[in-house]
Amino acid sequence: MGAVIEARGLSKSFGSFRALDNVTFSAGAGRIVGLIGPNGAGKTTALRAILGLTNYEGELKVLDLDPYTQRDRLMQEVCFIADVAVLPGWLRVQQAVEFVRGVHPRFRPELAEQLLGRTNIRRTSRVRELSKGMITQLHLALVMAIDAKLLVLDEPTIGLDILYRKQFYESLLSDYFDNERTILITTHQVEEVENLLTDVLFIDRGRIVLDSTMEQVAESYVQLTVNPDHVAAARELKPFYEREVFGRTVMFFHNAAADALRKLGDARTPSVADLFVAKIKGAAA
Amino acid sequence: MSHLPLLVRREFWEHRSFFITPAIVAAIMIFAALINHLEFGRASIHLLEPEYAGKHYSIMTGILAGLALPYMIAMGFLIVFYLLDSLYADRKDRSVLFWKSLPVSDTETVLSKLIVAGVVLPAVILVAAFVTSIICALIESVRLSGMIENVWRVIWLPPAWFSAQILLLYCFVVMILWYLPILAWLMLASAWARRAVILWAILPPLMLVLLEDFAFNTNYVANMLRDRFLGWFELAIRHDGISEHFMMIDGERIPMTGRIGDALDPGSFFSSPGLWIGLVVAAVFLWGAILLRRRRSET
Repeated sequence: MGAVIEARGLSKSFGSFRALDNVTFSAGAGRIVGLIGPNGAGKTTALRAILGLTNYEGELKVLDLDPYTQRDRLMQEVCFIADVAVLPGWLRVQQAVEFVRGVHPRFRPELAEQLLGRTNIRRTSRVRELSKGMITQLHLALVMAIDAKLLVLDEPTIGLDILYRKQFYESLLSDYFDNERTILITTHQVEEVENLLTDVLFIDRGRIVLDSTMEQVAESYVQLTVNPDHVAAARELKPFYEREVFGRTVMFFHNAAADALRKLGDARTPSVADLFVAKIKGAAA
Repeated sequence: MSHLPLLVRREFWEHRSFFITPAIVAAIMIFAALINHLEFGRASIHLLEPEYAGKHYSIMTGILAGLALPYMIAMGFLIVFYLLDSLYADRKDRSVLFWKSLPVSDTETVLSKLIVAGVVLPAVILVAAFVTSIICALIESVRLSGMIENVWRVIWLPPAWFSAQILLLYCFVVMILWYLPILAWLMLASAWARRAVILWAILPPLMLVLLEDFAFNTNYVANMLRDRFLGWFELAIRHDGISEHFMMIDGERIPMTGRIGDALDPGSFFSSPGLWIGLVVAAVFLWGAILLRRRRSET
């Protein structure tokens, strides 16, 4: 099978505002892709397009289907948590399980029960009676019990406390993820997902700023905390971004000679969050 | 449409008004029967007077069918408010994103809601009205049995009960088919509106009427709308039939002969262009509602 998500020249405008501007990217099977960008960058619009929730210009295939016109077929293979608190307040927990079981051929109710069993959620409660964290747990239990090829998570852990967040990502990796499945995830808590991701996709003002595997990031990007004596020499090597941290200059390099950099200071692979800031600010400068 | 039974159940989970409304109507009617305000026992007693000999059956049919009137009014409100909410409420609370994350097509969703409004709710109301009329008739029979001889024989006339149900079923089918463009219009407004659905449902036709009046000093649109609300009755029920059979409850001398079937005119109803034009318009509105449902994931 080819790419799970294949976007070519994807655009979407709201009036004169271009939420997505000629975006091209693809995601293969077995990847965990982080879609990272500031608010209003087009993250949500991109996810909406992939999930068939909005129309668009350009070409987009998800699992070889056209999401907008074939959403019902696509949703047999894809599941998503679009945001927090989208379960309706009147729905009872057991009704939610029953409904998903009734409409979803790939839903495994035993697994959902097992996941719910780890929580304090009562089956007879209505969603409006649950805490924000419990609603997210319920939604995750429903979604993780679906044997889907693509899982889309939009800010999945908003409203969860720290203990449950860690547990969520652990069970995502151990129970859910295998090499067949693809996960597309957006989050503000980049640090949380950093170690999970196999790929990153930076998006800013409707455009893709970086599309790379984590290996490529490690190979080609260097964050250098420069020795004060070597600042001028380091600048010669053309960092694409620099900033001051506690009085020391930190520079970011792409495809620079690693050996040369190591002599000028403390070189390491930047964190996704730092790289993201550097990319966005560096492009703006 | 293999998901239909589950989608229908979903609507019942969401809308407690489906249970509460019939329960309230039943409670009011039973209460009225208990405090002797239904009057239907007294009306039936006239039937024992000599001049009504032989007309007993058709009058009783009218009385029993009339008992469903409060339910029909309640059903009107129930269906209208259900449909106004049907494609709007889940966009408002954003749960549409959850429903759309499941492999149910927008067409299935929209049609399931129309089926709930046009088939399931009328069936529920019909059964509720039947059960309530039995309870009310029992109450009346018990009350009057001490005062009047033969009251059980007058009220519990099986052919009249049967005819009343046929008449009601016929009226429900005719009304739903005739009102289908209105139901579909409500769904279109519900799928379209970002707020104030009820205004989107009422204002556009009202504006059309006013505009036509100002611009051309004519009122075709108004007449068309009036016909859409009232036209089914003239087409589907024989006028003289209704006056002969059912208009009499107060003991006035009105000749009554014939049977229930004489009052119904399905031929004239089903061959009327108004019905078929209405169904085409309903299909267009529904198609629009489905397209909007696909397009709008938020309010």
